[in-house]
Amino acid sequence: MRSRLAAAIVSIGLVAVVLAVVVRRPEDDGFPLSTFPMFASPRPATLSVGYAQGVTAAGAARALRVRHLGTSEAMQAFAMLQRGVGGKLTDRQALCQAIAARVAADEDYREVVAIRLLWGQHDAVAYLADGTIGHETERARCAVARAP
Amino acid sequence: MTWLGRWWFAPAPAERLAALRIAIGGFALAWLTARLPELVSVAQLPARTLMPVGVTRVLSAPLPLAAVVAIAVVTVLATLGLTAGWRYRLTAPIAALGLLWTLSYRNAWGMVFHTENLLVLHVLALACTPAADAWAVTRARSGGPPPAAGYGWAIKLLAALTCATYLLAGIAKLRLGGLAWAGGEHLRNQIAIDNLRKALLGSAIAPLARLFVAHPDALAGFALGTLAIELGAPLAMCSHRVAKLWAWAAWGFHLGVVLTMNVWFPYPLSWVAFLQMGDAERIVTWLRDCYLRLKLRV
Repeated sequence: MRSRLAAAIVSIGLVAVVLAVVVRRPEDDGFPLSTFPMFASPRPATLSVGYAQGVTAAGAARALRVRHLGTSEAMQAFAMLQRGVGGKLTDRQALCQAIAARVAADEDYREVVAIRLLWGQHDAVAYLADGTIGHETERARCAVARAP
Repeated sequence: MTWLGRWWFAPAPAERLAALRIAIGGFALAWLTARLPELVSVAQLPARTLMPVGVTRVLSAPLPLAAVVAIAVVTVLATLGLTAGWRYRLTAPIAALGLLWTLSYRNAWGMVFHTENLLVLHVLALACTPAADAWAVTRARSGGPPPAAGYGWAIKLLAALTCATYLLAGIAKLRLGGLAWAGGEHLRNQIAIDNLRKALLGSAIAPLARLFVAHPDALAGFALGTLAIELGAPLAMCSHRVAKLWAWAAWGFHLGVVLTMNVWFPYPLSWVAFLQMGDAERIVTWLRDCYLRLKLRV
């Protein structure tokens, strides 16, 4: 970009394209041209959410890792769980089996014998402040099959 | 020329723009390389989970894994060329378009991340500038006169893009949350919900999350500060001194996000996103001097 005219066109064009998203609805996000809606929407403290949990032989719950969802990104895993746990029975079973297969291959999770997909309604502030767990509904359950 | 033109095209050394090329290109190279395994993982997710964004909207089905990897590898190599200033007019556009495609594809699986937008915009802008006129393996301008537009406009463009993204984030908060966003309750709920999600996914809760959720009054100050930094971002274009002050404030804001939500924005946290707000060439000069001193000692 050698001439001032070309430089001015590039400058105005790029900044205008980035700023033009203000005419879109704030929720209409994109990449890399984003409205940056993260943390902007007012939200109630109550969260209705889908998640997966390991169950030990003694019946105790054990939190799983993001990697058991087939990704290393927590938010990616979260998005997948919302679609999967909220989906049809066949989708829920498929997701449960896929998680169980990854857990079966994880030596750190030897004591986990089953996977539960749960839909929970929690007060996030109460959960964080004093560990209060809200209402949970089981949406799918499958065994963790390991080679003998 | 009007005062606006004189201000936009105020001269700056070619070395400053070159330092930004090396820093931003180097960050993009490291980021993309580190994200390759994750890209391979998401590229194998079920086809029904594909939700194209940006340039990937042309897709109706996922690309074959080999194509995803091939594009990413070419992008890594082109980004290496951009950073080194090797055949810049060829490697820079390939790197910019490759990064745009690869990171858009990475974001096309149901979750749009906001950690990479500014990096992509900066690399796209760099590709349009004469950033390889100094400190380059093969100089784009070999002994000829400097470009008529100079180098200052390119540095201002990078700064303007930085400010624009923060301004948009502030505008989104006002449009979605209104002035009540500054009260702190919205932010408390966001922090609580974000950390609850992490806890349910077996991830670590942010170190200050419980403290702030239990004492929401302190969050009002943080919310007000966030809005001031985001909506005040254009002020950073006024002068070098204001730009530096704003950059420190924005960096502190990102640190606060880490401490309360464990959400990391590596590009601004590494300071590379704010380098254009200062004399970027001094870092390269300092590193070069360190190297020469070390060499002399050896």
